[in-house]
Amino acid sequence: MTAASSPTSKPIFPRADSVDVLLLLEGTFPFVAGGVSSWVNQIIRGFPEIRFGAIFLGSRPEDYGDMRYALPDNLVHLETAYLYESQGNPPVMPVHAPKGAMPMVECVHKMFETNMKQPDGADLFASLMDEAGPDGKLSHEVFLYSPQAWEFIKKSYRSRCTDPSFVDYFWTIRHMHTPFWRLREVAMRCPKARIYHAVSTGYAGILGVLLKHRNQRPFMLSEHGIYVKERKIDLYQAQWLKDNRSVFEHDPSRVSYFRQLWIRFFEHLGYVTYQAANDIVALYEANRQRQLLDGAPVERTSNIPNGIDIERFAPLRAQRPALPPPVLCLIGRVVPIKDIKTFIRAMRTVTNHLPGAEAWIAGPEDESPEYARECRELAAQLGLGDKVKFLGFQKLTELLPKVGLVVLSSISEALPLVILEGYAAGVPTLSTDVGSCRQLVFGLPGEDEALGASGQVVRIADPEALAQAALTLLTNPDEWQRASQAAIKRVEKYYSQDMMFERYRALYEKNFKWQA
Amino acid sequence: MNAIHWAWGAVLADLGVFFNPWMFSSSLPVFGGVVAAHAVACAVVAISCYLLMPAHFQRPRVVVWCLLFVFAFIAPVIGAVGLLYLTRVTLRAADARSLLAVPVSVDLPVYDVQGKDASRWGQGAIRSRLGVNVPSDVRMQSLLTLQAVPSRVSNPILEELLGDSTDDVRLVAFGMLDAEEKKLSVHIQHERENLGHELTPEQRYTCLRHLAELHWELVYASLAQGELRQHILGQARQYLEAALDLGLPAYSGTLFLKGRILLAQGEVDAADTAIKAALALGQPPMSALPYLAEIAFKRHEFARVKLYMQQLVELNVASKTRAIADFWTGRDQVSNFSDRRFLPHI
Repeated sequence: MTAASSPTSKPIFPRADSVDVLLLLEGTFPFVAGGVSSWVNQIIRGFPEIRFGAIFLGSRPEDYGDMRYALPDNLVHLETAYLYESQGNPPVMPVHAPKGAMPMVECVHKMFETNMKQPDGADLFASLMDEAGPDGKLSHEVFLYSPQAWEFIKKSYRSRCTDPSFVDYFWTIRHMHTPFWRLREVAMRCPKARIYHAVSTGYAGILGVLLKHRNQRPFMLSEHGIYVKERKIDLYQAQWLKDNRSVFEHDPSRVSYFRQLWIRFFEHLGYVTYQAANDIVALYEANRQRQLLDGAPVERTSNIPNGIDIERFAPLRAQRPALPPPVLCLIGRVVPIKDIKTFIRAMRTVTNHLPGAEAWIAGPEDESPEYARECRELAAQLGLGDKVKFLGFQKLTELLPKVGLVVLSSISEALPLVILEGYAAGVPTLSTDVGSCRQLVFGLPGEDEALGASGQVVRIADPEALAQAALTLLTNPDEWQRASQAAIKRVEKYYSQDMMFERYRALYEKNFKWQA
Repeated sequence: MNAIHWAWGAVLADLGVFFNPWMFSSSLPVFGGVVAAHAVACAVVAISCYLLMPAHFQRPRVVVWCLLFVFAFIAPVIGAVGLLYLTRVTLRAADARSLLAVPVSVDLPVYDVQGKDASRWGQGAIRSRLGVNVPSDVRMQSLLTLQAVPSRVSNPILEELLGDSTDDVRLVAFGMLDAEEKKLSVHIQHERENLGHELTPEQRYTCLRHLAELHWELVYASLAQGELRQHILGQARQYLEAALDLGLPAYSGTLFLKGRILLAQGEVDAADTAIKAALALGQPPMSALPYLAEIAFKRHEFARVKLYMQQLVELNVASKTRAIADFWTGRDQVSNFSDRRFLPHI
């Protein structure tokens, strides 16, 4: 292992020529705090005998701050790649596409358009991507400046595009494809690995597809949320997508062409990733079903729920007061997906009935400062300036004994670790009905369900329901105690990190032995 | 005494006739008397059963009654009891149907006093294209269609979709509602900051009034529910009262807004006073009368509701309120009435 020399402005990351498992991370560990990042940190530390490497894929360097996690000793390689970094394109030059390049491009696009399920689709795509480099048939210059690429874009516009603007189409196509050349560069320089392990589909998944194709080593995929679904939701609401249809062409019930194009793009990336992956892991059954719908082969899928270090939190149970403290604590980043505004609105009703109640928001605010400001303004508008406290990042072991309820008002979650951490400390949860939260609160049918409810679940974006559920739990000590006991039993029985490590160990061992 | 009691009385009387010692007499007059008494009892049973039957079984009247009578007559006592039993079963089934039926509540049409456009937004069609059995692509397209619909119409539909079982639908609905709410919150914050500056009384009045309007808009666009809605209404009222307390000449619009806020808070009498004051200051009757009618309706003063509606018709109100006015004034009964398209379900 060697330390890479780097300009003074850039941090020095560990570097190695080879690793056991190369993690492919998009927008998470170690530069973004959150559930997925904590999980990555946990997995690396959970297997000290394995030498991990990590490739962080981001949009632009300025979108990320400093590292949020101390790097574990067994993370022997870390490098970053920014897919939309404003580095200059290759200089303009006359260039012609080599013979055979454009037919390959046409073939892959035709496959996506007409027969995405063809068995060698992932290989075909990976072969094409592997040509996207200076030594391949499809160098970046060919894509940008060759008359053949220009003709192909014109032809595609005429045959497919329903938006009248060719200019927008041209730049959308350029923008959309640019990351492929960056990903190919990463694939060329990254260390050798025995397993490639992506933590999402999307660009990280596609990098995994390419690395598997180039190096003939197994590729694992662990998804927390469902990347394709989340991109689709973003895109349905994105304001930056142009719609140039005139009043005669505009039909509000039809999604604009560029929106559709981006959605299809991410669907195809997801499909190819699922087809190439040797193992596809979801956190819970509903997500696995969604992966199947999006093209994951059923025999490669499995569920491995998150688990936590229960021993770390168990001693906190003794510190809890006998009566529920009137403190509702939302542990998470202050970002729109956590819908912290609904939590604040709910506090208006909670404090009407329980004047001593307080809302604590424990999490970093720097990821979306504008949203954090809006949340503070909302608290002031609702007259809750002294009741809603923004605590910033907190140590959970100090926080949880003072908390009556762990609240999660998110509009989207997978299997939130903070609920499990609260459970381990004996704190019940009040959550929105997202991801596996219902399963975490009421249990899966059978023995898990028989343990009883370890909190309450309400609809998303419903401050009234959230407030009423909070009041029910906080004003009824018996029910709170029952929920607390159920929470402890549930987390101990089903969500310990040892169980999770055991299952990942089996997967890693299987894939270490894999031969192409 | 109701029909069922008459029927059972007649059955008992019939039973009495047949258990009478005269039954064993061979005298012809006695036999005639017994037959006549049985016939009278059967007639009473037939009438009672007829009255107890559901309306759709009562036609043709004479034939049905005769059938009931013959049935009771040819099988003394047993026939009558059988008839009553059948009637009871039929009635119970009808009751059960009405009990099992899921009541469908249709909200009253909302007063749309400013809309001049008579076109409807096809809420029914949108809702039907958002049902859980509709393919997900169609649902998503329909959801996006809501972006082209006024928020007053779309927001309640989006609100319902927050509980949808499909993540994509739920989250897009949330995003659309959130964007609506954010637009208003940004303005609210801006005005709150303005309020902290040195302002002339006129500027302060405008600022406070704008804040009241923005809070009211949150409520009007269904962006707040439950106690939060009450809180926001309270804030709207506070800002408006602060504006009025500045002692500047009141505008009709400010008082009209106060009336609407008070009405939403359930203070019917105060709302009535404020809206009438707004009318006196020049608020157009076309916009004020529907609210006065609503207040009268809440007070159960239906004659007054009709009066206000009559005035609206005379003003030739052109929005959807017209359909409500036509209903109250009976104009919708006119067969060739051209505006029936407004509320075809009434």
